Amino acid sequence: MSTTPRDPLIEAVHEALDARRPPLGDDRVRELLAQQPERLGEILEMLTCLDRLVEDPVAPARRLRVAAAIAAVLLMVGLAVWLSWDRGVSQGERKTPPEVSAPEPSTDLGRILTWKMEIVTERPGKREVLRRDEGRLQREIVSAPVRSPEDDEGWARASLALSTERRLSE
Amino acid sequence: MTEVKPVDRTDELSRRLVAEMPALRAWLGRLAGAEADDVLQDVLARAWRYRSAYDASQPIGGWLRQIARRVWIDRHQRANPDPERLGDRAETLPAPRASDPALREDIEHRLEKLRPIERDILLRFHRDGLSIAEIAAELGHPVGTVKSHLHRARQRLTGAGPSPSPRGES
Repeated sequence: MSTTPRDPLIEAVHEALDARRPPLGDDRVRELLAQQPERLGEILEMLTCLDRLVEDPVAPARRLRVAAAIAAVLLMVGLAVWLSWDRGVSQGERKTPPEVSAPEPSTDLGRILTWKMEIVTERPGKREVLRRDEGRLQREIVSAPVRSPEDDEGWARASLALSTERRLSE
Repeated sequence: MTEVKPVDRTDELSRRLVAEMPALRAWLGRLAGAEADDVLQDVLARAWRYRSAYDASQPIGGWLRQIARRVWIDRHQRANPDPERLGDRAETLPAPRASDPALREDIEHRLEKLRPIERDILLRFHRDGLSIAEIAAELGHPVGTVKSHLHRARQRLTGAGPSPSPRGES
């Protein structure tokens, strides 16, 4: 581990920023700047850049989160619709009577008693788990040392698990 | 239209700005009260951004006060967008906004160069408004480690201060 040379001015700026104080209003920063006025531009560039960060409505990491959230919601809505329909059918709630036809191999999967779905989204440094079961939605964000291949900062992985408990027709 | 005589070197402009800071700060104290330090920072950042508009043959104090009035108006306009209250606009320098596509692209490009953990911590602190302690608790890192990543991220983002530690360090 290499050491970074001490820079009192930059350290004072960081200290003010960490405390959410405007660095140029900080006495220590102003005192140090008075000794090195040529560094004002460097400090202003940093502050301007950080201001842009605050105002930036959609940063890359946030875009990824938004996309993952939208995908997860769409998946859940789709699955919820499918499960409701499937359950309705298996419980005999279909409005139109089934067509009578010649006997054929049974494809009946039975009646769904319970179902549970879990969507896991992983990004570098973060793991998000969305759990959905009947009537409950649980979201859990775990900051874990998720390693991406070759430290690829744009890497993301999502997996979906669906489990159902059914009663087969007798 | 009068000809603007630019300052020869940015160091000279920095020197003039730093020399003017105490007087400007005192003037802003009367104009902006408790917000003086925030306004001071905005004024200097805007002055630096539009430094090519400064006529070096004129005292810098008048130019800075002109910018300060505009900054003050902009801050109040954002807080209370009522054009009737604002009166005449003495200053014509536009406020830089991150919604400008070029600025957004620039900041996104800079963010992409950060390590994932640095970017994550930087955005949590500056964009999402989390404290260092909250970030440390969420990520399960010591406060000191979060601070190191945050400081390094700021410097990598802006190129300020001494060279940051190499990529492999964590």
